[in-house]
Amino acid sequence: MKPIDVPSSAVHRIDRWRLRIDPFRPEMNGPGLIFASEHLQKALMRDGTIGQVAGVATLPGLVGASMAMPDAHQGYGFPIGGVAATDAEGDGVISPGGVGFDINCGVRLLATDLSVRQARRRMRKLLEEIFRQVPVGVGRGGGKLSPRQLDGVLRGGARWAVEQGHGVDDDALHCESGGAMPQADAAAVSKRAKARGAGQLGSLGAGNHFIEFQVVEQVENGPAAEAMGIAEGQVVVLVHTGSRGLGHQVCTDQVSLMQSAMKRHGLQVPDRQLACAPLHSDEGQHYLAAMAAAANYAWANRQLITQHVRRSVAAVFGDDTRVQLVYDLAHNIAKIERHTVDGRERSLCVHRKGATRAFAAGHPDLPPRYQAVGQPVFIPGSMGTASWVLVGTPQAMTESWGSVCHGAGRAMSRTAARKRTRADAVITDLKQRGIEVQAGSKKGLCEEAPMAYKDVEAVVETVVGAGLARRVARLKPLGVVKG
Amino acid sequence: MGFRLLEHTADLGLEARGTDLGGALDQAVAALAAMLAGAGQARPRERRPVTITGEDPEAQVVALLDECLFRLEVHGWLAAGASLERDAEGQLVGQLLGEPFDPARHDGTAIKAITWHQLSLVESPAGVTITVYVDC
Repeated sequence: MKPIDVPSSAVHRIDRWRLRIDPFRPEMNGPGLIFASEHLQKALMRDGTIGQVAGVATLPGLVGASMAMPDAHQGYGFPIGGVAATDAEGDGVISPGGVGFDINCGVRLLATDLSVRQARRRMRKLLEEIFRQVPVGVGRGGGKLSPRQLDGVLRGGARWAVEQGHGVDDDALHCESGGAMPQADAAAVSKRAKARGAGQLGSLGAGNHFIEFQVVEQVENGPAAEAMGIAEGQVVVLVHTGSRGLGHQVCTDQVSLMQSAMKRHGLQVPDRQLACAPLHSDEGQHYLAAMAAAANYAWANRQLITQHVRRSVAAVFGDDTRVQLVYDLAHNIAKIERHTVDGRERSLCVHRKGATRAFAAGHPDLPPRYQAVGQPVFIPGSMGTASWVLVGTPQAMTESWGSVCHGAGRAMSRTAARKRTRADAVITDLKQRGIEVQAGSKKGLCEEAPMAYKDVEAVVETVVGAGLARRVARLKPLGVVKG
Repeated sequence: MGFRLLEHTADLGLEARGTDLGGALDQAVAALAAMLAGAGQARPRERRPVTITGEDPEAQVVALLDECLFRLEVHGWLAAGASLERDAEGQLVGQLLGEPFDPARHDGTAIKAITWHQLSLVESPAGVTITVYVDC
């Protein structure tokens, strides 16, 4: 299947932060809405992103627009940075491609009571300790889980981990969905997926996954920062990983199953990776149950990594050092949520593929700590640049189904990044900026070099300018463990 | 006949060519190995039997490459090529050729999964061409 060409006459700039794609093919069920400044628009136009936004608009039962966030780039089927909601009460579909292979890939922020001076002095030792504790790299895992333990993970997510002694009660409470989606069914996960997942819980993986120590450089929203327990000069830890091989296999299995389901349901899409099934069909419900189980695996995975971080920090700085979970969020997921559409509250299936939920203050799904300030959102920059803590807004609820961006977003292919730099140069460059790095793969380090990413400041400026989020704090990297 | 790797903003693609389906599938597996092994090269030192099902030829390509990723993660074994034929039921049967994965030598790109994005298998008088993108 050929990529969709979007005629330039269909693309209009609405304002400084928004572009609209008018429906230009009869099978489009809504417009496209892209949050991008003129500066970021150039990168979006270079690859196939806007064609993919148009492709997602063909999903049956689409409600509102097919959206792309300012960090969006070309994906496979869905763009990375895509948000799309379908009608969960009627004929809407659910699409595994709208979630991606790394189901519930996400980030969590941990607050420590270390000062930047303390952390800098022992950063090398700290990274080495983490590298020793956390399995990093292709196919590397932790201990092997029994089938019964794995079923427990798939049902209970972060809560399972805490019940097994890997954390404190507060940890699960401060995860999106309480760290476990109730729709999960371990029986919906194939033997193949379980075989991949049994030996990988508590591991980081490779690619763009990382554990990064950062300092809170600047607080811009005092009450929100206070609610999160972070203040200027404090050291925090950002953890980015997902559901490992188990999630990848669940998506692979389900996209394959949906190829034949589409014929049965008479559905057509412009790219086979957009395969989907009506949410209320057997295939749709089966996918939701398997995806939720994989999402729970990811929450348990990040919870076990948190414990590795806590042990590493204790080994280097002493047992009384505090490491508290601020929040844990998913940026590859589909969820059934209530949203107001044309003045009426409706149930929608919201796909976020490389996009972050960003609910406003007062939303019933937020834990008590964030009721007054809104949901914390973490936007990692590339290795050498700042990351941001934001909170969701009422504008996000009305315009983007309570969603914002998820990172800086790639601007350069992996091959191009490898051609332009060497691992030694990346390490030296980071060192000159005061950032220590410990990496599982030299090649991976080149592929993840800061120059391969967009400017995170321009991405955050766009979501804040559009009113989808408010800035809380800027984080500056100190040391990073890369997969 | 051979393969080339294709550019993609975040991921990678492969285009594999053979005089027949078996040749193109062998090159598709070799291309995946080139991504995974990098300069360390995957060598066809051992043979392991394999049977691939799928409702159409493109689905079988995805299933074959997914099988290679599965064997890498679960068995620590890296496929470098394939010797496959279609049987009377339409399944692909034959062998994968490869060697144990060596993290010290095989320093390639981590691959999460095989996608159906712009997937194609084209048969022409000149041979068979397969195009696949993978998720990194």
